[in-house]
Amino acid sequence: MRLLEVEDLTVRFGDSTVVAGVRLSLGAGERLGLIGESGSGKTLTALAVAGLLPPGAAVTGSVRFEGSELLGRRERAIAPLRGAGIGFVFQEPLTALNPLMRIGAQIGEPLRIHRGLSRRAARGAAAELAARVGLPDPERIVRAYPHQLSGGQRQRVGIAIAIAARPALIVADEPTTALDVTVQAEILRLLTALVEEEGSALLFISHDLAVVAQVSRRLAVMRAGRVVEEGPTLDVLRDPREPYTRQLVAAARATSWNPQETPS
Amino acid sequence: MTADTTGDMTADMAAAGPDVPLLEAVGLRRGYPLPRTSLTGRRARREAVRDVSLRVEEGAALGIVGESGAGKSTLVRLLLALDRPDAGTVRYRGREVRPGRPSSLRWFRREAQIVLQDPMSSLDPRMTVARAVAEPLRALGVAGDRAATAARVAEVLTAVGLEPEMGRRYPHEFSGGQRQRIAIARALAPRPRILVGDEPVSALDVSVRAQVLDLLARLAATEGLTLIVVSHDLGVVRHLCDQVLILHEGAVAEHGPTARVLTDPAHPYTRRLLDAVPRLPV
Repeated sequence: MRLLEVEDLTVRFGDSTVVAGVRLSLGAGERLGLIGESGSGKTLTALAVAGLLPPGAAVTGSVRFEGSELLGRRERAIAPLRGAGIGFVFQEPLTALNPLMRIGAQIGEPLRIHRGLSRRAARGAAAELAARVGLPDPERIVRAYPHQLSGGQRQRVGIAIAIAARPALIVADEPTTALDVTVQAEILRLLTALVEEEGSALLFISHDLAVVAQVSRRLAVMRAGRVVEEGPTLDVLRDPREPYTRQLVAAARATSWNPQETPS
Repeated sequence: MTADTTGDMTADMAAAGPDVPLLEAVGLRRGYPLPRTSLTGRRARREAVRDVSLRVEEGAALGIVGESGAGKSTLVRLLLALDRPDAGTVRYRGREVRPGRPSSLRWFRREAQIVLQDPMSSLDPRMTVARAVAEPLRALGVAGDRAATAARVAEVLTAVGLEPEMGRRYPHEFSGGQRQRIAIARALAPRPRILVGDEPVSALDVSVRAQVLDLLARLAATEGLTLIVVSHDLGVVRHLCDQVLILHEGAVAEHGPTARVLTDPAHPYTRRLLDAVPRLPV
């Protein structure tokens, strides 16, 4: 049994089909990069996996997590999985965090809900998690509010929340797109190290091939709601089969370079 | 029409020696007061640009690189006289450019145009593309008669790879990449000598990005434009610019030929920036 099996996933809004028969599968501890341009359906695929699709989305197909079907389940039945089974890291940590809640309470929330920790115990665990994601002065930062943190620090908080209840799968949707390049490098290092330590699987969504290639060993390329190509990351980059993938790789090469190489 | 200012400029240009750069900034500074944190205390200031000097030679392509908060946008606003520096001056062909009444800057607006990051917010949704592209011609008093305007609009739309007939349509009917082409056409319409791109491809998809970068490079060559490209993305600058200026905390960390700065960075911050750029493994 695979950890996550998505089959024939289709998401419609009214007459428009935004995800059209997507098939993905992820084993325990595996890392899969899902790449596509805007409108390719990658984010909706990620949201469907976590049961977070917006109202008005009509979903068909199958999303099985640890063998049990998630689609068609009531919210009450999916909620316990979120955080405990599947952790989610959002693109924009400022909008993902609650502005009125202290950092420590937000990191501790999944532990109280899913692991039954007391408020006090959760607060202690939150400080430990804050330290694990490399936040400076964790004892102080757990008492801060999101607006008092930098963008990179907020995303560290987002990651701490996602890993808090030790989920088997972490879904990260463009987690570094809103960040500066030096901060992005730190966050990518942190995310891959934590996933490694925890042994969780990672579904990493991005529009940036160079970023995806750093964190995932397998790559699925989405276009217009479909997965057009899938394979080991290095194979896809070296020898893309689909013309669309070739175009993406060529475009990424045009604005990426090796430090040894002289600029053209 | 403002024949007077044009006359002025020719006189200044004649006075300018051969080693006067096209655009020059000396000792630019600009700070902003921060929001109040207490009712009685003094408002703190943030120095967004601190003592920046630079030269851009005619026909060059300068990339201005920095992370958020480095002062890129403030610097561009100062260079284009959209904001007044606390200290320092900007000169175009040796003539001082000062923020002031629009009419006193019209001559400079003809010389320097800008393309912004998000074409959806820089184009008026209620205006046809042809009208949007013709607008700077009228505003800057270089429109000529209707036929001349229409001809120039068709010419610049063709130059950016669009069909002149597309001018009858509205911005929402175009893709992101096409909209950025429209914004470029609009900037080119008054025949500027300098084109400033403020994160010109950051909002575009990767596959479209390369096409728009190629277009900018081609236009710079065919129109003899001087480019100033502001970007957080070193790849973009490497693609387009022969000179690069690395901004860090409002000051110039490094300024030099792109080939040298990217392969042999002198400043530790540049090195840190280069190390952080994600690269394809193969």
